[in-house]
Amino acid sequence: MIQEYLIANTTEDALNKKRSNAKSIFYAGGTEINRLHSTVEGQTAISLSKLGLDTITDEGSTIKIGSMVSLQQLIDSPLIPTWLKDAARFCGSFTKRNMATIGGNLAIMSDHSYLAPALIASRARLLTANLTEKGVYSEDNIPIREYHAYHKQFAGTLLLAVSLSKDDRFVGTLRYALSSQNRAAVTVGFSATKDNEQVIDHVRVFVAVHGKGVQRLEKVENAIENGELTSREDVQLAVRHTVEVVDDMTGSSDYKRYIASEGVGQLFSAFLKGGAQ
Amino acid sequence: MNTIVCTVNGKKHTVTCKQSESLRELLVRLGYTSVRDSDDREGFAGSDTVIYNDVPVYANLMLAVQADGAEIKTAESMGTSRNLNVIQQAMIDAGVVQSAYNAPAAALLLTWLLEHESNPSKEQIKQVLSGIFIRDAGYEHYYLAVKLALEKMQSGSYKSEISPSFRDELTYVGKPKGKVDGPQLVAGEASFVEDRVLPGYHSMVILRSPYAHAYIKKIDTKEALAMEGVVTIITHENCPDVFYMQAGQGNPEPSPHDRRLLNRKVRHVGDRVAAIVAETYEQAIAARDAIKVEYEVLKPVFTVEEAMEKGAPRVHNGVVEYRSGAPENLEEYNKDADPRDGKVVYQFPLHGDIRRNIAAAAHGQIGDVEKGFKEADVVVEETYQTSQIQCTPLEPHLAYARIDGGRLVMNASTQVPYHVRRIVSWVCQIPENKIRIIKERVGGGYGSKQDILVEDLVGYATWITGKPIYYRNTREEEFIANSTRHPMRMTVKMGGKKDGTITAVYMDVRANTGPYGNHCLTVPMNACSKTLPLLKCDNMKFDVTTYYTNIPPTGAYQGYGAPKGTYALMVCMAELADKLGIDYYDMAMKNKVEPGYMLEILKGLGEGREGNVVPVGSCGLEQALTQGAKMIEWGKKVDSKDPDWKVGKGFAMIQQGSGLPGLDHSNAWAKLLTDGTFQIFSGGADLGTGLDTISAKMISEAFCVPLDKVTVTSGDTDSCTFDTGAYASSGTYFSGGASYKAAQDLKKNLLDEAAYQMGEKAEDLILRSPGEVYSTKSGKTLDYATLSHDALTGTGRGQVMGKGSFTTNHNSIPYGAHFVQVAVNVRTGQVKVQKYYALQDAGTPINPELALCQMYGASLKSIGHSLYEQMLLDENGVCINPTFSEYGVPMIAEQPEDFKAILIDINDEVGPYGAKSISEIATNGAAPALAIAIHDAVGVWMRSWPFSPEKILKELGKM
Repeated sequence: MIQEYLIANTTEDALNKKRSNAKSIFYAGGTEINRLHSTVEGQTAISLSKLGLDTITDEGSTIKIGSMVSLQQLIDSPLIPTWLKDAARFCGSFTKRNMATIGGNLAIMSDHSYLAPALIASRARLLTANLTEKGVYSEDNIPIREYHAYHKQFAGTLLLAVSLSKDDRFVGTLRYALSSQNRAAVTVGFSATKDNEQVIDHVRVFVAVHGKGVQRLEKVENAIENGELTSREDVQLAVRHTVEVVDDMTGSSDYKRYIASEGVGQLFSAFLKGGAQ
Repeated sequence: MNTIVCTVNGKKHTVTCKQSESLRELLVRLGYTSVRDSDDREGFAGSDTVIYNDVPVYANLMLAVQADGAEIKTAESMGTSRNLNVIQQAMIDAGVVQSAYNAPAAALLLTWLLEHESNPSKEQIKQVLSGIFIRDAGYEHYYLAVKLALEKMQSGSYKSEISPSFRDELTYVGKPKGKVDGPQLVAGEASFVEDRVLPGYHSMVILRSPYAHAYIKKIDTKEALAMEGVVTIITHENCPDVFYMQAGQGNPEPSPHDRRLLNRKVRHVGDRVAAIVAETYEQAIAARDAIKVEYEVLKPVFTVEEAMEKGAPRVHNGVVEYRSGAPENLEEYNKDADPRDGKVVYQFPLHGDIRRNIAAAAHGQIGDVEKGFKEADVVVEETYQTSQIQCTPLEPHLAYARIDGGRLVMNASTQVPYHVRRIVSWVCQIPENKIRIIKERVGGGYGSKQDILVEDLVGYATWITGKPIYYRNTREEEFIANSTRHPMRMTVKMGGKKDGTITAVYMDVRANTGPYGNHCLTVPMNACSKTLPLLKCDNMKFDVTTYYTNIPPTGAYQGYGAPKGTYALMVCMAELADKLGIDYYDMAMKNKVEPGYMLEILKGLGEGREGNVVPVGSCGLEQALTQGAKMIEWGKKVDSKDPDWKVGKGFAMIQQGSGLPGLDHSNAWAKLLTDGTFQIFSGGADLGTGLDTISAKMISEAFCVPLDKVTVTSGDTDSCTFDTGAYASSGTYFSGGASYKAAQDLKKNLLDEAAYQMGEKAEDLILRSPGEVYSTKSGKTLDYATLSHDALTGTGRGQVMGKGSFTTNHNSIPYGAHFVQVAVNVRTGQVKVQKYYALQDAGTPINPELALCQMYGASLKSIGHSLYEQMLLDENGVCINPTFSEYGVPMIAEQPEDFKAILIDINDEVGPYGAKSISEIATNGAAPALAIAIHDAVGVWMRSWPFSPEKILKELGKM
């Protein structure tokens, strides 16, 4: 439960406030922090609302999405690729989409995240801000997979923006839930490139499994890149053997294993057919 | 504390707020009470929607301090009940304003949409409403509401038809005239119990059991009682030693009295352990946390199968008593009773055997089923399982009570104010004249507010403390301590000949009533009584057995047992047709009942007594079947063009009842006011379905006056007369019937008075618009105001009044058929409901626009029940999905792509102006129609709810 609400005036101010207040958290849309049974622990909220992080800009070879951009802004912007709009629509409520932000959704990295599997698979980069131990402000540009792999270590890091490359790359995402606003059992994200000689490269497979978090299926990625997995069935079998699952209210382990493999297989198949970019 | 400045609905506020305060709490504190809460900050249901800096948001998910400098609009920014804006009015006219807890939020969103889009698409409307949960009326007519609003804005009047009209000779009945309480509801004005709570109230909270089955060995409230603000703590040790039943049914109830306010034995996770009353909510919570309880934990049983096992733990093992009809061996039977279990008191024998966990049982038959099965070419026997479903009213169960003039006065959200009064009277051991129940607008009931789940405890606590007390369930408590749909295991055996004739049907219904026996006989019997009479079959038999277990409580839910029984019976019939190699539709047409067919099976299907055998009366079943088959193009295969998606079609015949003949009883009275306007007092409890509008129409139609000349007072036990309540589809037929009779009695008395005043014969007088008496003989007129004035002068003959009482043994059964087309993904198991056509015969639909919306709402909720809704318990009986987003309910995104509700025009011979019931029956069709369509698509029979992708994949052998 939030007991104190502070408004940061600059990104550096936000980081300083975070450092000087124990049990503080960055406050973006508030949909996760304020909701019933929130898993976000914090007593001091540091609002990012005044930092100007709520714009989407065309940077030439990249699209820069401020971390405070709402999911509905993603859907409404002509700059945003279809796959990311699809992911944003996984949040079934328009009202909630007006509040929830891309940065907040990434920072939570929940097992039913709308955006994380697709965004991480897309090989986006993150613009971040930090304070050194001596309190010196610095900004960085990191691969999003690092943010995923070492997520706990980024607890004090402020997400400034997500940078999407305009490279020719297939990205797709699928969500499996009983209804539009049920918790998802599984959300999958897949991306890859294919050059003129039809060589598959830069494969990324991420799966959010309820109860087991957001997982990178690196072995599956490597096997596809190495040409060991060439068909949809191959990929499905590999995912089934790789993904970590658990029984819970969203479905049995068997189901989650099956549907994760089906989802990745479907995206791989679409990729092979030259599906939407 | 922070001081912020914000603008709400154009008014600037400088306010101090706690940093943890939510924006919703602040807005309510500032008086914007339309910003409601139905999900405890879950960010799901949308009752807390506001427009924040021109963007729709959930106020519960924002901190108040965020609003510094913000411009906020709440539902109060729109029109008032006397000056509605165009979308508010259109929502009422379209029929979507029913229980209406979320109507102001929906109106706010649509108003915002029209401010930003002059001609919004269906997709845009769908998007804007995607964060609003509507359980009662569905979403289909919201599209109509926007269309109507646009037409009004563009041309000054509606161009589209709102609904079909019925009975040309009538002016108000059968015509869409709007709901009389619609304006106050859509405007978000004070309507609900929470709006009646006055400052200075005390809060009550409940300590609930963490165990599914346990004795309370010791409970220590000493420390808690000494805490600041604590007024009283009620436990099993100091509550009245009175056994009763929470089900609001006719007295004597066909449910055992198997509980006290608080019991020494807890029987489900969430069962009451202690009730704490304190000056503030926070103090009550703190005291609750300080109570120390020692339990003796017992092994629980959760399923019918577990309860049936030899040597199974006994959920009730106390003394059994009978108020009548006690068996001779009762003393012997009670020898093993454990006093810690309390008692089970039957009002009359229900064939219960609590030592075997049997709460009630019933059996009956016509003809000779064994002979029938021998005559069959094919016999099918299958078992069908339904799951535990939550009613999920947006307004949770709540009550506010106080002492006034030495009496207990309670504002309640109930379907049964007179049963509340009776049961509270019984529990408190005070006479009924000391109790007044005021039924407020009900923000969703669906059967769960037929049960007295909170009023008993609030009433008792108020009576003993003398303090005003407010209690409100949390959403989690709604899941774990509320009435739900009984899980049932139904085995159906059906035999048929090659020509499609059904030769015999046997239904074995095993129901799971959970910890207490609310509706334990009647819901499971309903699985037979509202299904078997659909079939023209001479040999039918049923066995119904209901078991106590330790799951969360069950009770009444819209449709009662019929949705489950219909699912089992219709799917079994489809399986039989499949095995016989004949078309299921042909089989239905061959075996369906027709007008005049004598329903012998009803004899064994009374509610705790012998039922009335009657012939089929008004019946639109054949029209529903033929029209529905044509609409869905039955028999025509559809190719999805995508090999992963297979398309199939299904349907189900359905029926319900119109109240309980011979059991239900309704009363109403009406009076002519001094200015010639009218007031009618109905005992009926309008739970949002438009019952008050029906009462008003009875007067309007009789006296040729517009609806705004009629005021309806209902559900107030002080001013209104007895009514058994709004359940069993009795509202229109019984309560409406009483209002009809009261209106007719008033008319007779008014004509008598007019004859006296005019010096004419009553038979020469008629009533005509705009509200006057006209002599067909002399041509003289007398307006109602003059008539009333003269009747009430010092030489007058007294106020003109009328009264009506409605009972009947007639069974006016509504019939229908629901048709569906689905696409099933053979790789993922996903089901898309492409088409859903609900065709129903409601006799004369008195409020046709409301009737249509109830059909949409009920159909959609049963689609949810069939495809994904289900309460899940862990191995200890803990509900693991007690929130909306974990449980899953249908939102606008889940609507069928092509959704149509069709009213079949049939006039009933008994109901008021030919009306029958409408809404409950609409919950019966989805499950069987979907199961049959899924089979048609992919060849697997779905024999248990919900038909989840996981189950479909398993049936397909994919996993």
